[in-house]
Amino acid sequence: MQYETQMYETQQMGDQLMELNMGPQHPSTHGVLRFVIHTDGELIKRVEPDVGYLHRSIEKIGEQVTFQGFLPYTDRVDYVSAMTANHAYARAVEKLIDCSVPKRAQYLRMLADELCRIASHLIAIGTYPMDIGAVTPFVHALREREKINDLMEALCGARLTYHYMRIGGVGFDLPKAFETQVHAFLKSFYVFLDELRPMLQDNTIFLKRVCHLGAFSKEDAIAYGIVGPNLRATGFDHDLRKNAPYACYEELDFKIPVGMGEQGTLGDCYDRFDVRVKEMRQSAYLIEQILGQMPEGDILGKAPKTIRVKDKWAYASVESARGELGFFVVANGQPNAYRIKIRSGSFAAMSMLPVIAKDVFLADLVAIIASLDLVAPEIDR
Amino acid sequence: MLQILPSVLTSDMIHGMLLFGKISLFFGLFITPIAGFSVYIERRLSAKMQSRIGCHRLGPEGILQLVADGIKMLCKEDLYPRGSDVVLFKFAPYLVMIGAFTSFACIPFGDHVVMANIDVGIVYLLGLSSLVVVGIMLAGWSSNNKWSLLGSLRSAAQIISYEIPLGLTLLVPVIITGSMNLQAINHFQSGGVSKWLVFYAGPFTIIAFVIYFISALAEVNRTPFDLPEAESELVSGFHTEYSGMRWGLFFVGEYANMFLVSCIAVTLFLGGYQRSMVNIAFVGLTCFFIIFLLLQIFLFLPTYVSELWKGQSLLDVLMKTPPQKRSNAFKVMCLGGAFVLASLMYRYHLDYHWIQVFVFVSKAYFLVLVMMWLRWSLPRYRMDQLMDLCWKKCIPISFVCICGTLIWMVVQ
Repeated sequence: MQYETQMYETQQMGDQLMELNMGPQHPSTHGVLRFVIHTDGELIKRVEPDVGYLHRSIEKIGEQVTFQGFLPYTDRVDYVSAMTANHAYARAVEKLIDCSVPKRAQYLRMLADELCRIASHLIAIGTYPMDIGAVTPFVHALREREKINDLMEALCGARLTYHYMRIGGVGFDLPKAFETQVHAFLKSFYVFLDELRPMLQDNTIFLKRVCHLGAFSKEDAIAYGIVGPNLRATGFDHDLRKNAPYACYEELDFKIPVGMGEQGTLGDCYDRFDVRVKEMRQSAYLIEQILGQMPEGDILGKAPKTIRVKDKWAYASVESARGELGFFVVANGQPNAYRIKIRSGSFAAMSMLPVIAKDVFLADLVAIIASLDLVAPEIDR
Repeated sequence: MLQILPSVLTSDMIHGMLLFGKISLFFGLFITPIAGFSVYIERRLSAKMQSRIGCHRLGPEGILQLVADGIKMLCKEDLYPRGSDVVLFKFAPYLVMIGAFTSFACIPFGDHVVMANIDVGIVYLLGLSSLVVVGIMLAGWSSNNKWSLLGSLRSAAQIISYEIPLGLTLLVPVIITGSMNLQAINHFQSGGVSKWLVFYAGPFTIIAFVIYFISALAEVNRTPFDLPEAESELVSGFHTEYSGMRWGLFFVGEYANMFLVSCIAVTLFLGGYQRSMVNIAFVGLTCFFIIFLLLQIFLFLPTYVSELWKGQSLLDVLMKTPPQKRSNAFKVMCLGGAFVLASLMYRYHLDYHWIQVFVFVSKAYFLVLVMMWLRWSLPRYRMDQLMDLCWKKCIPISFVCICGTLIWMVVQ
């Protein structure tokens, strides 16, 4: 199917929809996404997403490099929260080779995951008001994310694509005075979270733009395979950290925030925004607990230098910022994988878009795309 | 050739040419620098609100940035999209500029500092603001771009709708003073802050002023009503396809328009150019910024001169001298000096025309700053919510204000 906009288009008689191309280049910062929109003036009748502008054949590359060598590529799958991608792939390969990960490494992995979740949600709740018109919260959110970037740089040397986890554990231990830095960050972070309420969540214009918009029910979400905060906003409390705990999450105490429909319909854009804000707060509590309970020990378990497993497959997933990020790895005795398949939450959310973006205004479409927290690298891989 | 000139030039023509020269000077040396300076102030103000610094590199505290931007815009390629209507495309920015700039002709900046003391000044202003709509629609249509078309249609609907509460609330000062002549309205408000028209009829004029301000925000396409130039959807709306100086004309036209509606608000509601304690306070704040900038330049000069002495080129010196931080004590001293200056002006009853102009411009600029403040704190309204706000809320409230003012006047 070709969607090409022609310069001198002739409308057929009786055909009243205007075809617009919200092309791969546009100022919404969700990556390289393309939507072909059929509108009746400003009312949208049909949205067709066109994916593939950020496809980098990561899964195919997985068949060419070794299992350990593929780890840096997993960062690029979701570069907004790269630690969780690392974690999921590492878990899949560890399942393949039955490798056990030491406790300290598990705690370090949880710490990295939660910091990454905060960083990713900061981008989500920063770009969301920006697409609606308020630019200032975006800059404030990025200011907080800069502090997390500095923490990550102290931890593993990189600000965006970390390559922190290894098969069997993590790559680096905590540097000196890391805990003091994290506590200093958390202190200012709670202040930022408290500032969000009067700036956005109690702001009439924001509520008018956001409530009752793009709502879908729990059953629809499960049918379309939606995961993560999008699913939790509909009222269904499914979180891999509680329902299928991995990496010592059962030893920590936290709640799963769920959409409650307090402003507008249950499962609308406001609920998705609210769930992300509450999740950031829970992640901050989790980080405090992790740092308090960090055990001593090794950071890397025993893993073979060359991984050769015959005729075996493994699937492992973690709860990333956008939901269940799963890696399906098939091995057939070679040092490279035979097939790696990545399952991401944004792909399902993108497929939901044509369903919920009917009979909304053009401005609402941008708001809905932003509220689903679509990240193009995850969709296209 | 030269000998026929005296017989061809009549005194009327010379008078006309001098007037043309005066008006051009006014626009070139007064309004355009204010608009350009507004761009710089907006960047610094928004940076302050977003915990960053803003443009502070080029020149002292970054004020040469606007010169650099202007030169850059002039040097850009003058392109127009394929398939666009070139005549309309080139004509549209001029319409917007004309609508914004010629409205300044009837605004009194001082007792006799007005270009054209039109007896129906308010009608003249309302008429010219409609010219801006035509310019915007031409721009959107001639860009051959569906997104620009959408933006311009939104803008046209918005501006035309909000002209109604604008006109209605502008009627309130007309009712009170009984005249549409802006000079007469100014003279009515002489004698202190309590004589300002915004406090004349209790809550009704205050609400009228608020409704006027909201409508003015919608007229100049500022957030929360900037859907026509919504960045996240339409790139830049109706001025997406413009580059270089053509876009610069739109840009300067927008800030000039902002200054214009603030000037109208100040003239009609906030006392105009009349001298009073509060007005002198505004003057003091403006003086602070001017003194601060002048002192920065003054203190920068030794560094600049020494760099030039070492043999670097002027361009290098201007662009590569690192920004210097001034301490808070320095800023407080500037503020104190400015207030001393302002109170001296009040004490010694300096009623020359320039002080009136200064008072007027500083008050109008304060309203411009409020507009910028609103832009960077609020999200934008969706189109139907915007229209709902205008037709279902602003217009009924303005009618109530008019009736309330009339009743107040009868009762008092």
